[in-house]
Order: sequence, then C-alpha cells, then structure tokens
Amino acid sequence: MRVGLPQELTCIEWIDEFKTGLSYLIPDIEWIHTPSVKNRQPLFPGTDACFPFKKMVRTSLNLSSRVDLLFIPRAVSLDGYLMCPNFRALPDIVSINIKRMDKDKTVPVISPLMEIRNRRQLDSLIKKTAKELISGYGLHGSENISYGKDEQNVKYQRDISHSIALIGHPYLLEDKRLNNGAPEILKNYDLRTISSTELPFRELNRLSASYDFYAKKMYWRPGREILGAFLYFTHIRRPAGIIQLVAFNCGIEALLRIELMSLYRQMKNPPPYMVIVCDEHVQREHVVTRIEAFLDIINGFSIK
Amino acid sequence: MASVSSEIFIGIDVGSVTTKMVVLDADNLEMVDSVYIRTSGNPLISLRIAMKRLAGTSPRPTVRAAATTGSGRNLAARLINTSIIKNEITTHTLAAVKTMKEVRTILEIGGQDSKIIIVKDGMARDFAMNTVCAAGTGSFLDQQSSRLGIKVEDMGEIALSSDNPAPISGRCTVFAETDMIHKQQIGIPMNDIIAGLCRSLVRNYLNSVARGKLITAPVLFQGGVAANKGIVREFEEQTGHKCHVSPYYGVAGAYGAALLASMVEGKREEFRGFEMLDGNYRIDSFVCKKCEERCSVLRLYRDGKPVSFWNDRCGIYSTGRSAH
Amino acid sequence: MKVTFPNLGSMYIFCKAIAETAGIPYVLPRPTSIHTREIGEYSTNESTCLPLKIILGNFVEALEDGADTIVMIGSGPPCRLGMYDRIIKIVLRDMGYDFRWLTIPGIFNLQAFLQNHEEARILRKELSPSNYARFPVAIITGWKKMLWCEHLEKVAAIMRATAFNPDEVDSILAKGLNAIDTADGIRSCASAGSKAVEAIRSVKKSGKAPLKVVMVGEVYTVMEPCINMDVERRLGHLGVIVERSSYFSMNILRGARVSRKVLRERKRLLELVKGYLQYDVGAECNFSVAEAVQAIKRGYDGVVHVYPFSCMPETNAAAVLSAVGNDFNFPILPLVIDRQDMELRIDTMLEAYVDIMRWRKDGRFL
Repeated sequence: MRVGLPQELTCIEWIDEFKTGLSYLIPDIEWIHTPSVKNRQPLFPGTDACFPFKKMVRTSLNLSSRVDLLFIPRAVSLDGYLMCPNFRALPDIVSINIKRMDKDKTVPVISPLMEIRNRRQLDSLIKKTAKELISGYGLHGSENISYGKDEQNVKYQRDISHSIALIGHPYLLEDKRLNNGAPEILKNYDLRTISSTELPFRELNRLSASYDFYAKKMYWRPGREILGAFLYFTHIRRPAGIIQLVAFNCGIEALLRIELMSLYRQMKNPPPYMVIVCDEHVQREHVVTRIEAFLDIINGFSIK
Repeated sequence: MASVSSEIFIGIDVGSVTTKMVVLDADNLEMVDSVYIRTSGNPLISLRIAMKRLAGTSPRPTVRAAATTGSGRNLAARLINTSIIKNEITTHTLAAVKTMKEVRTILEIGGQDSKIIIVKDGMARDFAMNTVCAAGTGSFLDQQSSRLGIKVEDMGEIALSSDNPAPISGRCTVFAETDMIHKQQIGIPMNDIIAGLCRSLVRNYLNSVARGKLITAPVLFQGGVAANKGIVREFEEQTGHKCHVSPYYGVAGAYGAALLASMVEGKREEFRGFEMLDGNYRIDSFVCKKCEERCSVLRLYRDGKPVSFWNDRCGIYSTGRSAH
Repeated sequence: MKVTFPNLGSMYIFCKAIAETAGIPYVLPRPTSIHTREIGEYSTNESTCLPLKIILGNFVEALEDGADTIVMIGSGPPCRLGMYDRIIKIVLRDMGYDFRWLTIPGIFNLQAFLQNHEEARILRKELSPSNYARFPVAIITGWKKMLWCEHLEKVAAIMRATAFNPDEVDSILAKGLNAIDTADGIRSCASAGSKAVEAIRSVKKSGKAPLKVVMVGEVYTVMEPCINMDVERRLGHLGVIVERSSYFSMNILRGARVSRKVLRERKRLLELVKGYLQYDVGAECNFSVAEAVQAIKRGYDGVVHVYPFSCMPETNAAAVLSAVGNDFNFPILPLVIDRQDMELRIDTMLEAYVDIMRWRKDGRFL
C-alpha cells in the first residue's frame, strides 16, 4: 500500500519516528514523500499562510493522485509544548481541498492526533494507529510487535568555532525546496555547519526556560527550539557565525525575531548573526549574495 | 466621431491610469463610440478631452443618462452631474454578461487593479480583488517593459515567440526586476524573459487574486492587459480553459456603466458634462480640524468658486451642513 | 501611578469607568491613528500581526502622555495573542521606556495567579484602602456602561441601515456614547443610554428593506473600527445591518468560562463545523467558520470575514470559508486588513458585495 506523507513533515523528528514505528509494525507500507515532477495538480487555492504551510498543503495535494492513503498527523503538541495553529488545521485544509479538487475520487486522509510528551506516549500512539490501519485498510501487520530504534547519537562536533550555526524550523533547515539551498551554498564554501536540529531538544528547552515568566512562557515547541538554539550558540558554544532561516509569514518567528534581535543587541561581542527569509519568490542568487556578504563579515574582510 | 444618434447613453470609467468613455445609441443600445485616454494623474483633463470629443459631433447629441465607474467615479459624477455611480466590479460584470451571455468567470486585469468575478445566471456571485500590491496587475508589465526598453504593446507578440519562458519571481516588482536583470546578465534571450514575465504575472494573479475561486468555463478576459496575447496564452495554459478576449476589453467598465445608465428608471439628473468645456475647474484639499478625525476634505472649484466638497467622513461639508 | 490600557472599540469606556470609580489615576490611550500604526510597524517586522503593532503603538503614545503602568488583557495559546505581552514588554524596554506591567489573566490557572501576584506586588503598595473598597462598585459600573454602549451600537447598526440619513445615526451614536461615558454612576448611565437608544430609534426611515450580514473574524479586528477600516459603518451606509461575532462583554464571558449558557452556545457552534474542521485550531478560527455557517443557514444575506494579514488561525479559517462558500453557493467576503492605504478598495469591494447580495435577494440591484 502506498501511503503519502509530505516530505516537509518528515523533517520533524517526532513525525519521522512515528513513520519509522509504523514501518516496523506494517512492513507493507510504501512511503511516498515527494510528488512526481510530471502530472502535477494545477492549482492550489493559496492562502496567506506561511510559506512552509502552503508548501505542505501543495505537496499533499500533489501526492494524493499517487497514493492510496495520505498520512498527515495532526501535531498539536510535541515534547509537551504546542505546535503552531497551522499544524492543527493542516489535515483538515488538505482534505477540504482534496474534496474540492475531485469530488468523486477522494483519497482518505489519516490524521492521528499527536499530543506527545515522551517516547512512551508516541509508542502507544504508533500501536493504536497501526491497529486502525490494519483493521481499516486490510493491511498485514508484522509478527514483530516490538521494535526498537537506536538511540539517536548526537554527534557533537568537537570544535564549532569555524562552523556556521544554522537555526530555524527543522523543515526549513532540512528541506531543500524550502530553504532555497542555503545550507548547501554554505557547504560549497567548504564550511562546516551545525544546525539546531543536531542539538537535543532537552538542552534547548532548558536554555529557553530561563526566559519564561510564570504563565508567559514560550508555549510553542518551535519557539523554544529556536530560542534555545540561539542561546546555545551565543552563550554555550560559540560558532563563527549564526544564520537564522525564517519562513516568510511564519507567525512564531515574526515574534521570535523581535525577541532574538533584542537579546542580540544586549550582548557584548556576540558572533555575527544574520536572518534569511525563505519563500517561493526568493531566488538562489539572492541567498548566495547574502551568504557571501555574511562570510566576508565573518572573515573580517576590509580594505587593507 | 462619425455617426452618433441624437440620443445617447454614456458610461465613463475613470481609472487610476486611464479614463474610458463609451457611447451607446439610446434606441438600440449599440456601441457607437468609445474613447480611451491616459489619465496621467489628472482626471479633470482626461474627462474634458472626452467631453470635447462628444461635443464635437454635430448635431450635439442629447445625453439621456450617464453613469460613472472606476476609482474616480465620485469625482466624475460630480463633474457631469449624475447620481448613477457604480463600482467597477458590477459594471464589468454587466459588460461581460452583455458580451457573452453564458460567461461563468471574468478575469479582469487593469492598470493598478485586477479582479476575478464568478458569474452565475447572468449575475455576479462572488469576486475577489488584488490586495494593495501591484504584482498581479498591468503596471507590473508597464514597469518591466520600460526597464527592458520595449513597448508594452509589443510584449504579447514577443512572448508568443518563446517556447521556453524563463522563471522569474513575481511577488513584487522590485524582486522581479533584480531577477530579470540577472537573467539578462546570464544571457537568456529577450523573448524568453518576456514570456517569463507574462507567466509570473498570471501565476501571481491566480495565486493572489483568484485564490480559492474555482475557475469554470466559459472564461472572458477583460481589461487593458487582455490585449497581451502572451498573457492570454499563459492563462489558457495555467487554467486549462479557453480564454476568450472580450471585443470591448479596454473599455469594458465604461461599457457596463453605459448599460447601467440605460437600465435606471425614473427621474434622471440633467447631464452637465458639456459645461466642463466652458468652465475653469480646479481641485484642492484642506485638512478639516473640526474633530480628531482630521479628514483631508477635497474641494472642487468652478471659475474660482467652490461648488462641491467630498471625502469628509462626517458629511459636514458634502451635505452642505456647514456654511463653509 | 498612572494606568493605561489598549484601545479596543468602546472598551475604553469600561476601563475608564473602573479607574474613575475606584479613584485610580489613568491616561486614556489616544485614538488609534496612522501614527499609532507607524510606531508599531517601525519596531516590528512585516509578518507580525496588526493588532500587536497597534497595541504597541497605543502603549507608546500613552507612555508619552505620562502613563507609567500598563494593564493588558492576557490570552492563552496557541495563537500569538498569548505572546503579546511578552513581546510588547521587550520592545518597550528596548525603546527605553520605564513602566510597570499588569496582565489581567485571560485564563485562570495557578501560573497566571502567581504571575499576577508578582506583578501586582509593587502596585498594591500604591493603592489606598479606599481604592480597594470602591473596586467592586467600579467593576459593576464599568460593566453596566459597557453593556449600554454595546446595546447602543447594536441599535445603531440596525438603524443606520434603515435610516433616511445614516449620518444622523452616526452623530447620535457618538453623542450617546459620550453621554454614557461621562455619566456618573449606574443610574445616570442607564438614563443616558436609554435616551440615546430612544433618539436613534426615532430617526426618519428610508423605507428600504435592509440587508443583513454577520461580521466574523479575529476578535480585535471585528471590534476595533480603526483596524477594520470602519467596515460596519460603511456597510451601514449602504443599507446593510452588520451583526458582529464578537462584542467585548461576550468575549469576557467566553474567556472567563463562568456562564453556562455561553459555554453551551459555544459547544453548539462547534458542532456546525464538524464537517470542515475536526479539531480546535485556536483563537476564533473554528467560531468564525461556525458563525458563518450558522448565518448562511439562518438566511442572512452575507458574511464578511475580517482578519489581519498573517493571522495564523484566521488564515486557516479563510481557507475553510472559501470551501464553505463553494458548498453553500454563498458568497463570503474576505477582507484581509494590513495597511491603511486601501480605503478606496474597501469601498469598491463593499459596494460590489452589496450589489451581489441585492442581486441574490431581489434579482436586481438598482
């Protein structure tokens, strides 16, 4: 059975593990993440939503013609912290638009509710979802009920002082179609990068907690991740420079940018820091120009 | 103007870039004349040109009713003295339905406005307009053509000669420009760039203006940009529907207004547009300080005397409650 | 101590009444103007939502006018409203202002209580026992004034659409709100209110049958005319009665979760959207859709959906409403509000929308 899961969502750690767990329990599943280049659905009624969200909806709609089932988890909270409202609406927006596209043939959308605090909760959600898939869609379950995933070994680079730190939403950092190739461009300059996705969330969460004020804590998980990463790279281990990738019209980052700028201004001798806004209208050349200029700053380029 | 019947209906569309006038024969509602004038920021002058042309025929026709539309509709209505004032969405619908009875979708791209109108049973059922940005409008092409040093009228033909439109970002004209320059620098042929501009305009229109609206055939294309064959081709490619270009594309709003003028029953105001030719008109504005709203009130002078006020939110000037 | 608060429609009358009756010095926020918005835009970025920019601008102006204590109404996750006070505080501090801050919690829980306790610790010292003693009366007075204002606004919305001269309604409304505002005590407030209602009801009528729409969307945008470009009044002048999905008092009741009736009503509304949204997206998103569906089913002539550009929940609501409009074959007018320079466009859109509604209703629009 072919199950569609948009590429962008697989970048989110918990969702990726959800997928891995399901694959263990139901070996029949053939995952499809990116739509074929040909045969694309013509139109997606766009909204003013942020760029990654639009892309997720578009990917899902384009996947729908190639799969038997769309798997779009409703990520409400991960690690006990909230995701943004868009993730709550994503499965519904996708199914509404699938219905509008083609009234007769609609692909079912499976959207298990993810309110995950820890590994145990994810495991039980995986088992529950697998059971539903097996009974609802006639899939064959694996005999092997238990599965194990290697503990993710966080590979700390020993020395990051010459690396560029990248912070941002995981999907923005990892999906080439979303970040206009920014990490790749850096690699072309023979620079090592360290991204916020390589740091354990527990550490980032601890750092961002220092800015919580009673009820006014940063309640979004992506917010804690980005704020934590920013604090990590400015206070704990210093890289050569920090680049923040921001999705155009992302609500969380709009506020976070204000906070980070304020923090940055108060620092004494901080590493160079730059924001790159990503969206469908930004061309690769623009990103290259910005990164080159940024690297010149880092290298202390000046007229000698 | 060759042959104008003695009694006519006229419709005037004062847009941000151009002023259009359509003259209909009062008996059979046939279009007998249409005028298309660049407003160049001064609707007074362009209206005067239109009136001059109308008055130039002999015998001077009797205007049975006149209607105004477009962003300058209120000012124009004051100048020619009519109370038939309609927004351009409704007049465009009227014109389109008259042109093509079974039309379901109207695409309209003008100088600084663009809209999509969904029609059902000869009536508008839904519509959307561009937001503040000019990316999905005609001025996008205007700017880029002057940048490339070609006439905007020629763009369509040039675009048609390309089979390989260059990808050009089009959310905002500034981005498009840097992108276009880059494409020129790396040696992409002109026709591919122009075709790319057309593609980006259409994509922008579909994404930002027409978003969420289901485009169903038959589709009628109106507005000045409809002259551009490259755009028409892009629309057909991207929507998958045949895209009919209205024969009155340039003056559709004025045409609709004229039709509207013919539909209004009851007593009509006396047409005073010809007085514009004799009088000396001038507009200025002042900031009213009567309350914290601080409206900038507009004032129309005729031969040095203020005759009309508008744009005050409380209506103290426009309704004549103040002794000025 | 000089207290100030954000501008939100006629809410200032409520806040002012409380401060005045309890004897607390206050600074009224200046009416929201282009200048207010520019202050907010300057210190934020393009993806920040409009209400934040405006509230920020309001506070800056009030601090300039001598306020030193800001009272903000809090809200919770998941939408950005819940982060407003955190971010606004940061920006104001960065701008170099010195002020004290008090958040009135939108949700009552332990952490909100602790925060309140912490914030109020310094403030409490400055309040005298007489301030405390008068507080209950102050809240009741403010609440009553609020209810009268809203009642008056509702009556005005109906009469504006049916009046021979809508301008007359506007001016009576302005006078009436002012009379309620300046009324001393509950009784004189009631008499001022009923007098104004009476006056509005007795204006000369046009005899034309009005249209009826419901205005749904983001709370702040629905309630504050300076933000929604005065949509309610503009539509009223075109002969349309506008019913709002949110009034201030209703929001308080909803947020406080004390009234059973309000809670039941909310639950019923959520049932209406089950076919579109299976989960609460947050803020007013689901209710915007629900109120629209309800209005369509109840035979309203139209639905106007107002929301600030980049508002996360309402952007999703707009996507759903576009499908709702399709399913019911009913035009819904989305108005995304961001900048001031769109007055003409708003007029054109509203006029065209009114034409469409007339067409649907009477088969003619003249």
